[in-house]
Amino acid sequence: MNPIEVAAIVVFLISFYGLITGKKMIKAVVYMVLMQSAVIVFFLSIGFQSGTVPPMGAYLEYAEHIADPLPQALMITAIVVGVAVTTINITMLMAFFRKHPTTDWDEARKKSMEKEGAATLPNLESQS
Amino acid sequence: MLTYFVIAPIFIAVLLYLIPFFKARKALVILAQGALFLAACYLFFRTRETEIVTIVGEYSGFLGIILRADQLAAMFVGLTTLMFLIITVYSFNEQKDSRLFWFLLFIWEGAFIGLFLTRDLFNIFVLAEVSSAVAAVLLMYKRTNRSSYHGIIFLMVNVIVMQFYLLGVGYLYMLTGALDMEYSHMIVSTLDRSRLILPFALIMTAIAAKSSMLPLFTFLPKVQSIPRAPVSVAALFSALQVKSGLYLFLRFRHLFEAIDMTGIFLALGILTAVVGVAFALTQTDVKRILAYSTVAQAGLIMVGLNLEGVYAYVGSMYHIISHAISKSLLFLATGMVIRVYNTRDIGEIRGVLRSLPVVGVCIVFGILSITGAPLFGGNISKYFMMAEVNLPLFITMSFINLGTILVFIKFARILFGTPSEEVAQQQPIQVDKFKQTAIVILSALCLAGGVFGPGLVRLLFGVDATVSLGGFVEKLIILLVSWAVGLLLTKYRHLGRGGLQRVTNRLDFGFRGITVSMGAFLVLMLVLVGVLM
Amino acid sequence: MIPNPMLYAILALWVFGAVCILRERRNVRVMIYLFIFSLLTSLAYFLLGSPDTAMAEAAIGAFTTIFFIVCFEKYEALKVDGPQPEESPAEKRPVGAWLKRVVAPLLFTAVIGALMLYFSPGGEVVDHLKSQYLTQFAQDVGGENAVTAIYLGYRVYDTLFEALLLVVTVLAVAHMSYSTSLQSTKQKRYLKPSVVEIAVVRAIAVVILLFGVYLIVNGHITAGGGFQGGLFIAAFFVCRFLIHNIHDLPVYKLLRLEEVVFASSVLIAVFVIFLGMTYHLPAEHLPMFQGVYMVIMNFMIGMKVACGFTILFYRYVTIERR
Repeated sequence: MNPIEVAAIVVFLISFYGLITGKKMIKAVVYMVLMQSAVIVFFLSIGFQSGTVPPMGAYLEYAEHIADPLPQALMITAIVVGVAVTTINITMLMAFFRKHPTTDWDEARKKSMEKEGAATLPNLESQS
Repeated sequence: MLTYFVIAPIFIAVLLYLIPFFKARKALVILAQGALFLAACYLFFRTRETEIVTIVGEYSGFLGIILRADQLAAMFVGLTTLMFLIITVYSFNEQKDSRLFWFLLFIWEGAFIGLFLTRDLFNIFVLAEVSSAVAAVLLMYKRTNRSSYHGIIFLMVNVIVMQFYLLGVGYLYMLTGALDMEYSHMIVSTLDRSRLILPFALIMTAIAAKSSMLPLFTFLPKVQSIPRAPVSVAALFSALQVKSGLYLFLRFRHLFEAIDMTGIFLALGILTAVVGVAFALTQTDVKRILAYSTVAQAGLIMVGLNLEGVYAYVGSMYHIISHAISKSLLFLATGMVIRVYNTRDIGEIRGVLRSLPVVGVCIVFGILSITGAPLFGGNISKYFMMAEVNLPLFITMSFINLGTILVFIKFARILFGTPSEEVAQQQPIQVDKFKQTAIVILSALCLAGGVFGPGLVRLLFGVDATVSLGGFVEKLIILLVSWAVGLLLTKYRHLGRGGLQRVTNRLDFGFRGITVSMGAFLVLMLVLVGVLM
Repeated sequence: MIPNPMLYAILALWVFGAVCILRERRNVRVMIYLFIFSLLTSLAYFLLGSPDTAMAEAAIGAFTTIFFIVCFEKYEALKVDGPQPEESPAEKRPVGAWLKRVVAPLLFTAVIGALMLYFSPGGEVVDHLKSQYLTQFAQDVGGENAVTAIYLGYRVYDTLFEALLLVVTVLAVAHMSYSTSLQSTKQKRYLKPSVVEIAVVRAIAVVILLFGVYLIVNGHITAGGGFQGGLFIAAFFVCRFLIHNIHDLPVYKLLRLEEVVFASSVLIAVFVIFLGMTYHLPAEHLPMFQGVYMVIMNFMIGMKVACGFTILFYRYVTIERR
């Protein structure tokens, strides 16, 4: 078990702890960003030894420990995927704040129950 | 060849967004869906002989991404294209002005097909993220339902759970040095089981959330009943989103063959089915009743997939198809009813058979199919699922079916009685012709699934199965008894109040509750696998 | 080559940063900590031997922070609207509630952590593919950067989906955010920079743009590539916004452009990679062809990412206030 893996898991769990205790909706998105970073660090630590060099250019000819290029390519994808869903989440949250002026998970739930729990629709033109 | 099944819908989606001509877009939508369905049928018949493998970019070894279509994958691709074709017909008129709707719909289809064809662990992650993001946007892009709490929770939970999955894939990559599932399978089978526990538990947590298994089921039904979200999207959730979780379960069960968890998933399936029924009984919103019934049926399919014997497997696969068809029929028909009645409260909708006769008859077909009445698709699947089980399980499954019948007796109340004043005044009631066509096709499919059942099973799975008369009569008697018990129960006891309501309120988690149950599921998996081996 | 103690120090700081974010209640500070955390993450990636990822994280961290700032700003505006009850400090709460709210989750998380570390497979890392990638990429895909070779060659299929997700995001944000119309934003002035600030930003903007183009063009040789370069070009447009202080970019035209670029990059990928064209060309033309393909593909992705993030930024800063 290498220390980088431990650090990644610790951050993963810190953000998990934040998710299960945090009250604010927007902080949940922040914790999601932390979680993604933790997973990425874990991926990059696979096969890491001290003195590892990037898999590119002149390093390829003489270096002894070259980093595994596959996790790096995967993690560029993961970073972009992560920022995409984070952005959608932030946008949704902003739309939510606009309608329901609250920032708290519990209050938001209560408010949405009042609104979405009501089975009768207010107007005819609504989409079923 | 397989790449084009995924790239084509995505490319068409972009074209649909860019083409300025209204008529050209309309023609392209319907032609493309038809062509995709035909191509999927062709793919299915090709895979009957041999597995089709496409290495993207023709790179040697396992360097590239490999797509594989075996019969299972081809069946799911066929189901996907069929469902999307029907949804296209259904929303053809309603959404004709909305470019974004068609763009997202086609991308969703591409993501589903990609998910079913790919065997690359990381590709599954990317596609699952695409499909959940697209689903969330489809539900919420309209001004009226932009601020939905449940939509936010759906997306967040999916993103978090996919981080668990990605961590599991990381461990798997560490152990096997590969991302292709077949290749990993070869290496995994040589490894010591104790090293597989953590990746197994992490990946199974993600799959449990995707297929709405017990502690992680609360957000999927709610997302399907967001007011004013397109009902077609809700139907696709029931028909495909939940099923894609079950599909991934099958794939990963194959990958982790070394870890035998049949018993645990059997118990999980039974519990999910029971809890799903309990939740469905306590709801008053018609869409929510249908959505929670999907949870119950997903649990039932999970039970079937973990039973021994070919028949149980075939039965549950057939149930995936027949449930997709009948549940989307019910959702779409209910959408039309809600549009006319302007309410979602089950207590206020009355007399659908009188006010909307065609829709009412279609709902009857859907209910008969989903409860497993003879001559309908659901009957065949439930018959095969219960063909070889032992007595306690047989009783349990009959009990679950009784629960389903109870739910749909409650649901069927909307059909009878006299419609309210407000609806009666709307004469003649305007019905969208495209929507009606879609639900009539679905009802015909429900009926065809039952009448040609054994033949279809032979065609789809190559299993030679005939429904024996003795077994058929036995099942029929059980079914009739269940219906009678159900009718009596609903007549004399008012179900879904009191104790049951309190229990379901307790289990109905918010965001933090779902996250906690995610962790609890992970701990459960780790401990159980660690102890049981 | 890279001193290991430095990596561990950075990782320790990184964990500490996460704890700080967890403990912090004030939103503005959370945002600042998040930015620092993102920089630390980027450094950690770099020390782990992955400059490509580090560069992507550094650029994306900046954009994420901007988006969070906008969201927090709205959040603060909400607080002004309705006075929120002061949160009582933790020690004044009764012990039972404290146990339930802090200790129980902490124990739960600790149990998960202990189990994860206990069951962590450990042992030898298998790397069948690593050596194959390193020896074959120059021949199969070309270029000198193995990471770029993987995401533009071996796994271009994944890259397309990731680009697709970005397209979906941009469309979703454009349709879902409440933005003021173009007309009214033209008159609106968001920030009032001084002359010195304008001059500085103008000078920096050119450097940023050049750096972005450099990253795109040399993506197949050294660290960098389409995503990173595209993000820097988007940063150029952010600077442009700061200088001219107006919202004059035609967002919907940019959206169209982004879609067209995406569609053409799909077509290029299909023709070059999916059809296996690199295998059907005569060997003497192959290296040149591969080089051209990689530059064009990086350019396409860069343009797409630049369009996407510019739209996102403009959309976010002009979001209607309550």
